[in-house]
This record gives sequence, C-alpha cells and structure tokens, in this order.
Amino acid sequence: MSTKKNSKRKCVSYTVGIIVVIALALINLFPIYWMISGSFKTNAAARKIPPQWFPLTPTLENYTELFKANSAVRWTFNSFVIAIVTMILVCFVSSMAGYAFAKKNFPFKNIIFWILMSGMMVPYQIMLIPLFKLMSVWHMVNTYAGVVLPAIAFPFGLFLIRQFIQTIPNELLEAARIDGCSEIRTFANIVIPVSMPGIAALAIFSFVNSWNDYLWQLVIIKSNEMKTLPLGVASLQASRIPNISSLMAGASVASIPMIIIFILFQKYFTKGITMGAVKG
Amino acid sequence: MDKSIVANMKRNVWAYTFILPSVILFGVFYLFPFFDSFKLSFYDYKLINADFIGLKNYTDLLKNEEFIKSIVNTFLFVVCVVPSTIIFSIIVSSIIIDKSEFTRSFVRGAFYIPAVVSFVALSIVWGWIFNPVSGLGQYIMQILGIEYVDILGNRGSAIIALSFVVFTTAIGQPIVVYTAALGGIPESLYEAAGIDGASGIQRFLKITVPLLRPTTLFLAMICTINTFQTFVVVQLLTAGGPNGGTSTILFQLYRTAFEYNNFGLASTIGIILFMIILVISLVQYKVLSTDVEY
Repeated sequence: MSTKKNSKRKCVSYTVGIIVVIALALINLFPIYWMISGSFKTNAAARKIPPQWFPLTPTLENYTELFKANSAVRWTFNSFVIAIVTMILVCFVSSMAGYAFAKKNFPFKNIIFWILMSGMMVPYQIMLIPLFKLMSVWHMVNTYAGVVLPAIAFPFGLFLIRQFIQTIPNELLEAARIDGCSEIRTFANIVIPVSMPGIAALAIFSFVNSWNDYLWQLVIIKSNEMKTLPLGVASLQASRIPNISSLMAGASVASIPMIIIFILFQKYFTKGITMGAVKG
Repeated sequence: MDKSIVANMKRNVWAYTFILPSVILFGVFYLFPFFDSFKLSFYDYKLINADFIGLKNYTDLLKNEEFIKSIVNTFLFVVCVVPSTIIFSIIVSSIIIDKSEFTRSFVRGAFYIPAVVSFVALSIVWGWIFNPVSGLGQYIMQILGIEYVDILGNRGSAIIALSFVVFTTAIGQPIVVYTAALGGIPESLYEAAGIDGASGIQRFLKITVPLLRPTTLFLAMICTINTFQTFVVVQLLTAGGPNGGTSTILFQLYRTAFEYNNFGLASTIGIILFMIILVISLVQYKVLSTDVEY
C-alpha cells in the first residue's frame, strides 16, 4: 500500500521534472530561434513591440543585402578555409603524436607528454601579446597562416587521440610489424583507419573551435577582406546604426553551419566531450 | 646484441619523428610565448621600444582602479556562473538519465547547441533581446509588471544579464559529461538505498552527488577557467560599461594592448590572470578532490 503510494508520487515528480527540463531546454534554444526568425523579418517588423513571434511577412531581403552590400561572401569563404585547414592540420599533427604517446616507448616519454599537456591549463589568451609579436616579426599579421598556425598546437586534441589510440589492441600493430609493414605504412594503413571515430571527433571539435574563435582573429586580422564571419558580423554591429534584422541574418549565417554540423554529428560531440573528461 | 640496440634506436627515432611536429608547435606557440609573456611583464613595451622597468607594471596595476574593478567583476561573473552551472547540470542530468535515448539526446543537444554557435552571434541576438527600446526583455518585464530598467545600463543587472548569457553556453558540456558519469554508477547502489527506504532526494544527495565528485571537480575547474576568460559578451554587449561596471580582466588586457598600445602592461595583466587561475584551480583541487571508487 505504502510502496504503491510512494511509487505513484515518484512517478508524478518524475513527470514534472522531465517536463520542466524539456521546457528549459526549449527556452535555452529560444535565442537561436529568435535570431533565425528575426533574420526573415523586415527591419520595421523586428522593432515592433509587442513583438512578432513569427515573421508574418517573411523576406529574404536581409540575406541578399548582407551578401551584396558587405564582404559577407568573402567572410564566409575565409571562415571555411581557415576552419578546414586548421582541422586537417590539427588532426594530422595530433594523431601522429597521439600514436607515439599511446603505443611507443621512448626515453622521456612521460615528461614530454605532461609538458605538452600543461598547455591545457594555460589559457592561450595570456599569450596573446607574445604571439602577436611573433607574428609581426614573421610578417604573418593579417594572413591565413597567422590565423591558423597558433591554432594547430592543440594539447586537448593530442590528449583525445592518445586516449583513443590506447584502446587499439597491441596485437593488431604487432601483426602489422610481423608482416613487415614499415612504420609509416602501419600508421597510415592501420592506426589511422582504426582510430577514425576518434579523429572524426577531434576534426569536428577543431572545426567548430576555429570557426567560433574570436579573440585571436580579432587581434591578427586587420583588413575587411581577411575577416571571418564572426569578425565581420561583429563589425556590422559596430559600424552604423545597426539594422536589427540584417544583423540577425549575419548572425544566422555565422551560426547555422555549426548547428547543422552539431545535429549531424552529435554522437561525435558526445564522444569527444566525454573522452576528454575521463582521466587516462 | 648490437642488432637489438640498433633496432631500439631506430624505434626511438621513429617515435621522436612522430611527436616532432607537436613538440615544435608547442615550443613555438606555447612555451616560448608563455615565458615571453613573463619577460614582457617587466618591460615598458610598446612594439617599437622596450625598456626594462622591473616591477613597475605590477605596482601600476595594483594602483589602477579600473583594473581592480575588472578583477572584482571577473570574480562576480565566476561566482554567478560556476555554481549555478554545476548545480543546474547535475540536476538536469539526473532527471534525464533514466529517460529514453531520444529524450536524453534531445535535452543534451538543446543545452549544448548554444555552445557550438558562435559566441558573437549569440551576443548579437542577446543584445537585441536586452535592447531598451525594441528588445523582448523589456516587453517581458512589462508583462510581468517589473519596473523599467535598462538591463545593460546598470551594473548589477548588466552583470546578471551577461552571466546568464555565459551560463546558457556553459551548461552544455557538464550535462553531457554528467550523464555519461551517471551511467557509470551501478544501479545496485540505488536499489540498496531504495530498500533502506531512502527517498529520491536523499539518494541524490547521498549517492549521486558524492560519487560524482571527481567529475564535479573536473567540470568546476574547466568552467572556472573559461569564465575567467569572459570577453566576447563584454566586448559586444556592454564594451565594459556602464562606467567599467562589467569590464573583465581579459577585456582590460585586450584594451590595454590593442587600444592603448601598452603591450608591457597588457602582458602583466595576462600574467596576473594566469596566477589567479592557477591559484583558484589549486584551491578547487584541494577542496573537491577525493579518491572515489565505485
């Protein structure tokens, strides 16, 4: 009798709990809805109070204006180039080192590994000035190389890949060695394919990171032509009396690719986040 | 014998070759800048000339009211964001843990999406919501019968508003990590507690929370480090205003370097930020770390 009552009460509180959580989840998404729906409103409609909850007279004007009047096409191109190049290099460099740290024994291995990992504790922002100085000396201010190079050193990426490669059975690598595979072939034909899920997680992380980076790009990019989407959109806000709905169009263009990537690859995000969180 | 030494050396050479790119990149883009930052903090450095001035940057900063204010603001952000993020995430995760896979991934996704969306885009939409004339925030406050305030125009409300924006981007990761960690707690523990007559809340406080302590430590440290680096929302929503009321350490660093061109002083700000983060992380580690096994 009492257990029955208890379980009924439990059931009610469980249902209430999950409903509240789902409601909060939707509220958390609301700003993104507001941004995207705002991008389809006319500027007058966007300024209306009480607000229009849906764009009643949807228009694509903000997008055509954004891409015509500004360098938004170039910004989008820059964002993609920078994010893709960073992603490829991060994955390449991290999986090479991750493999060595996971599967090889060599003098000073642990010391070197932990020195590299200490980078995770140091926010790169405090190195902003020396990095900028370095890039000035190398004449890389306002270049793709200047944006990308410092981002390739990504201790978290190395950590993630090492965690993943550690789970590959040694027998597999042993077998390759017995078959007379060279080191490079073992790496390219066995380690890389087997660790693809881990590399994919890292690829997505570094792509999103690079796409959303702001501070370093703000410092190193000087011309309008070299701006990435976040920088370009931020400059729209600063430049003139901002037209709200076209600002929202800019913000949407900067966000929607990441939302799509997230929805397509949610599995990898979850994997990357949890793998990075579990101590090795 | 000789042969094995040669083979061993060859193996080491290969291993070093594999780590070489990472080591070089790390040296050039972490180690060198890190030590350079320390060095620059003792210089009057304005990109053209550099004069050694010892600790003058440090003493100047300690006397600089604007900078002290930015430290206070940064701590306020941390206090507003970190505990709320941790508590919120742990509750949400323990509510969704026994739900269907679909519900779990929907909730996780909905809370995580703001973290993958460009912070600039989010700041811009929040800027509109907080707009005193055409913002949704004003409208909602009106409906709720709250007196008109310019949300970003007052220090108190601005700090709360910015913290809230940071919070919405901060909860995604902990929710994912907590749900994963909760999955690792054996069901038998809860069953045993259930037999002993423990209520849901008791079980949450007596089993879930203590067992998640290592995870909480990790997440609290990450969240603290991230919040200490609050920059984008401040730059785009308030530009540090009103009257320096929302300026953060990193915002001061950026301004000092790239608006006032005082790179030496800015490096000093960076070093102080690093020291604060280091000390706070160590304190958190001491307070929260225990060896939990289950």
